[in-house]
Amino acid sequence: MSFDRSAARAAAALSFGLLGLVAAQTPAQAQAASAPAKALLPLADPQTNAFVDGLLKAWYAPTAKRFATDGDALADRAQAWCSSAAKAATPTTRDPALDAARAAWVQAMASWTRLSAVQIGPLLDRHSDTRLDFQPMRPAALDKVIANPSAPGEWAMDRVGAQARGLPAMEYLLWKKPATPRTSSCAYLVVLARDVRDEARELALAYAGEAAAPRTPAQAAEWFNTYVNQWLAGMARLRWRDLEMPVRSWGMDQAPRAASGQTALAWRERWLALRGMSVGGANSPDGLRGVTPLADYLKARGLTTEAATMARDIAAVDAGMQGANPATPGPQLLDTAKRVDTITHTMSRDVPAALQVQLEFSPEDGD
Amino acid sequence: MATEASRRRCLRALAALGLLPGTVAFAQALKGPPLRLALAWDETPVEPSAGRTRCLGVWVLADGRFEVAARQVVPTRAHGVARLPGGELLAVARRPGLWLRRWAADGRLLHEAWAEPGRQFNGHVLPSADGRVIFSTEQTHDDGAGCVALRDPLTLALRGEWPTGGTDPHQMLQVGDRLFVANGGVPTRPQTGRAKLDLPAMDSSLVAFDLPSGRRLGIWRLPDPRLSLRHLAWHEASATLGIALQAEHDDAATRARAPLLALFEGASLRAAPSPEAGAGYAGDIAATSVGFVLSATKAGALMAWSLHAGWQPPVPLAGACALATGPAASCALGGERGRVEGGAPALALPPGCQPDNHALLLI
Repeated sequence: MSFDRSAARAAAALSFGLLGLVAAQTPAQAQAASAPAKALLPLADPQTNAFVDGLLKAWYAPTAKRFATDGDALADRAQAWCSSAAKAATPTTRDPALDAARAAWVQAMASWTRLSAVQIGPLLDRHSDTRLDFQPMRPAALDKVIANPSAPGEWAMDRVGAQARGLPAMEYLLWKKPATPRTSSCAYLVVLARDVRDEARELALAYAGEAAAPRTPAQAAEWFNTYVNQWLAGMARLRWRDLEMPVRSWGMDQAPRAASGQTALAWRERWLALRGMSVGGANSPDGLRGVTPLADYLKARGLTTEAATMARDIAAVDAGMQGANPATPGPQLLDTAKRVDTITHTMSRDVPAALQVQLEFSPEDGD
Repeated sequence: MATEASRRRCLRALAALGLLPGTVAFAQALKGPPLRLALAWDETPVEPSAGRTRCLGVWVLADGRFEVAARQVVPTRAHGVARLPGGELLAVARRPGLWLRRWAADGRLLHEAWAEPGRQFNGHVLPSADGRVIFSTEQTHDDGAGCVALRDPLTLALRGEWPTGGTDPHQMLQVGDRLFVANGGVPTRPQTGRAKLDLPAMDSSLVAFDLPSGRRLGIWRLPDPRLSLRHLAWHEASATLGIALQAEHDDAATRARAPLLALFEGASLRAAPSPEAGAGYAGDIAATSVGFVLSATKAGALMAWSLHAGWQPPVPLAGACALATGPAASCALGGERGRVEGGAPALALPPGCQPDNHALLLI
């Protein structure tokens, strides 16, 4: 490789004519600059406190508790399968203990997907997503970990990489390459299940604590700000990781929960959680029925147009998500993904223009 | 608006820097082929309820204003643009990015690649000087480790990678048989997009690779870990690498007075003294005859650094960001207006178009 020195010299020798770069304002710009800016609604407000309190008490705390219950069941069923007398397991094996472990995994995955749809508070602080749900899982890394226990049947989980742990690794050991009882693989499956259980218990405790804690208006404003940013991140994840990338590039075998055949369920759970948090409604998961939806909060703050736009955009996605599954034609899924993107426009453009929200994803943010 | 007194101060300072002869180059540029810029931008929709359209393409300077000459819509916001030796262009999504495109200056999409599972693009791409390989800053999702990916110029397929020894790698610059890379060092996570969640763990660095072997020649850090090294320019005469900085301090006052520029002269990395009003954020950097110019986006100004005389008075340009230099002209774009080298009046941007951080001069 040779360096193009002449081009570099030309660029370096160039005088950067800053004189010409001095901005001269037009009369219209000058007038605009002198016009008083519209005051933004402060986030610190009793309605923000009520919204955040409701969210933590009625959604995050009970949903985390439900996930912890499902985590307990998952650990028990994994232990039962790996202690069973089954001699071998293949992807098509039907065995009551294996079926029970698989069903427990599906249950835990669904409650985790709901809980993690919008990640605030303990989910972020504990890096739970990386610990429990790193994708893509790497089979080679998983094999390496299984082959190298810290002691027979024991693994130091704080030293195991994200790509060989959590729900995706369990999914692999339950469906793709099922772990046979009384092998190292099955011992590791049990360790993984306990790791999920322990993290779920910690999350339940942490959210219960947050739900019971009093918050100043400033603290509630901070929670709300994070919530808005993470709501946008959740929508982006549904659009890109769940829907677009498997269609555009990776293939449906890289769609979420493809190994267990639960892609449609995973899409549905994430969407219903996001939808319920946004506009509520009859299809919302249980806990969300007692939560003030984001659109109602906006309405209460006087942002009725923004609330109506969000409701309209959500309804447009509903139709696409209805019955979406890996066999749905790609263009149809891409159209749904595009509609998911449209939902975010209100929150990323119109709401910050009216409310004191600071977006990490701001279109004005540079790089 | 700049006052007459500050304008005169700028004139004196710029004259001292030898920046005034640019007027000649501007006149030449107007007589020659029209000035064209490849860049990414956001279009504000006419319909209020529609979202912004993220575009990539070419602007041309005509009749004292920029016009869109070629345009393609991109899936998410684009960031860096680069040109292959044959004239084709490259563009990549800003972090956490999922797409990379090869395209023609008439706006045609020639090829598109998507990030492999578990990877992301970080906003900059650079063809090697001989055009045989494309360098792209990327990072993996499991541990956030940064790398320079080596990709095929035609298929854009991944051929290999060199770990950068840091995270959040951003812009690259080839200087002879060395490839410099700025590790921005800002930790992010795939599930939280661009949210900066763990700033106390920031670890920004400058790394150099030997070409074509990929051997790492060294890694250098500034004493202040909250300064993110992001964009690079080379001052040939003094063999100095200029690095534009973005401050990530928790405290707004500390951020506001943070350095904007770091300098690497071959052995060590040091921060230039803080300018008076840089607001801790430089969006782009270019070399000048006497040093570097940086776009202080949040301060709404261009900041010139002379290697001999230090900082010069800031030159106001609202939303200053993209700086483009070429043999025949130079250009800076702000949020609302653009300027080309010389004393021409401010140039209108295409209506409703907000340029991104970088632009590439095509003449």
